[in-house]
This record gives sequence, C-alpha cells and structure tokens, in this order.
Amino acid sequence: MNRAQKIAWFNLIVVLTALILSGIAIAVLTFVVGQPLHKASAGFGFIGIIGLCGLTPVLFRKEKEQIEFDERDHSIHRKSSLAAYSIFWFLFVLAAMIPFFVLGPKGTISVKYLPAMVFGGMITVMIVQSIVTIEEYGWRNKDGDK
Amino acid sequence: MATNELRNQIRRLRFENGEMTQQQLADKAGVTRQTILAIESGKYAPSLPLAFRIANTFGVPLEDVFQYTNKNT
Repeated sequence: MNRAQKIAWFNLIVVLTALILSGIAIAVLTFVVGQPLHKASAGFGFIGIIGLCGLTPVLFRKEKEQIEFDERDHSIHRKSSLAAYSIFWFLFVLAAMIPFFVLGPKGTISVKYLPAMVFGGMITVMIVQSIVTIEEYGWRNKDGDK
Repeated sequence: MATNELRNQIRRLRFENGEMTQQQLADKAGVTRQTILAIESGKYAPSLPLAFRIANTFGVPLEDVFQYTNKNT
C-alpha cells in the first residue's frame, strides 16, 4: 500500500468514525436523555475528530530518496479531486437553491447553517476523494495495483 | 464497435535483460514499482515520455515495447 492509499484509508476511517459517533451521540441525547433536537445537536462535537486528518503528514511521512508519487499517482489524485469537487459543487448548488424554492425569495434562514455547509462540504470532499483514490488503486490489492 | 488495446512486452524484456525486477525497472524509469506493475498488466497506459524512458532502459525502440491495436468487433 503506498502513501496515497494509506492517507485515503486513514481519512475515510476518521471521517466515517466522526460521523457515526456524532449520529450515535445525537440519537442518545434525543431519544435516551430526552433533549430537544437543538440541544442534542451538541453531539456534533464528535465531528472534531476529523481534525486527526491534519496529522497525516506526520503519520505518513515521505520517504527520502525514493520515488513515491509519479504520473499515475498524479492522474489518480487529479481524478479523485475532480470527482470530489464536482460532487461538492452539485451539493452546494442544491444547498443554496433548495431553501430558495422552499422558503421563497423573501424567506430567511439562520446563519448557523453557513458553518454547517462548510463542514458538510469539507466532509463530502474528504469522503469522495478517499473513496475514489482507494477505488482507483484497488480496494483489495495492497500493492497499489487495481 | 472499435476497441483500442495497448499491449506491452515489458515482462518479456525484463527477463531478457538479466531478469530485471520491477523495482529495478521502476528506479531506472523514475516511477514507482506499482506503476510498472499496472503498466505491465495493461491497467495503466503510460505517458509518452515514460514509455520512451522504459524503452530506453531496455535499449530498444518504443514499438518493441508497446503495441497499439485497433480492433473492429
């Protein structure tokens, strides 16, 4: 497994773990503790786990004097980035246009949804980029061959 | 329907060149071993500069390493 594959797997696992823990926390706070949904949304605090993805340069260091990223890796990186940002753009347009059509041109929404859009976009990009990277290298083959 | 196929003789050429390993070829061509593996198994079509570097490593013309066929099925 090469460095790009390791980073993709690490990011995917971290992001999915953060999302699952957030979901569980919100469900527990809502249905077990009986908190209203706006208070139960504190369970989203687990999203902070995604910050671990910032450790990838330390955890997966570049080997010196060894070729680790060549034209095929560039091609896969380009493809995964294109897929990730295409889906992000599609969701961003939906997130901007759906409230317009639902609430009408004079409708208003709380600014608290703006950071949610940013985090949602970031999570979308990380998940799609990781999945496409892993898919391009091959899910099972640990040698970087599909 | 027309199908394009890029075949290569890398595996044969490696063995004819002192049983060169994929890693040795990768080091000489300036890519990773995984890329040589992907090219050899026909799963990745290399760029023209890389194709020339591989051919130069074996000391043969490009067409001795890669063959392009256009089949009409």
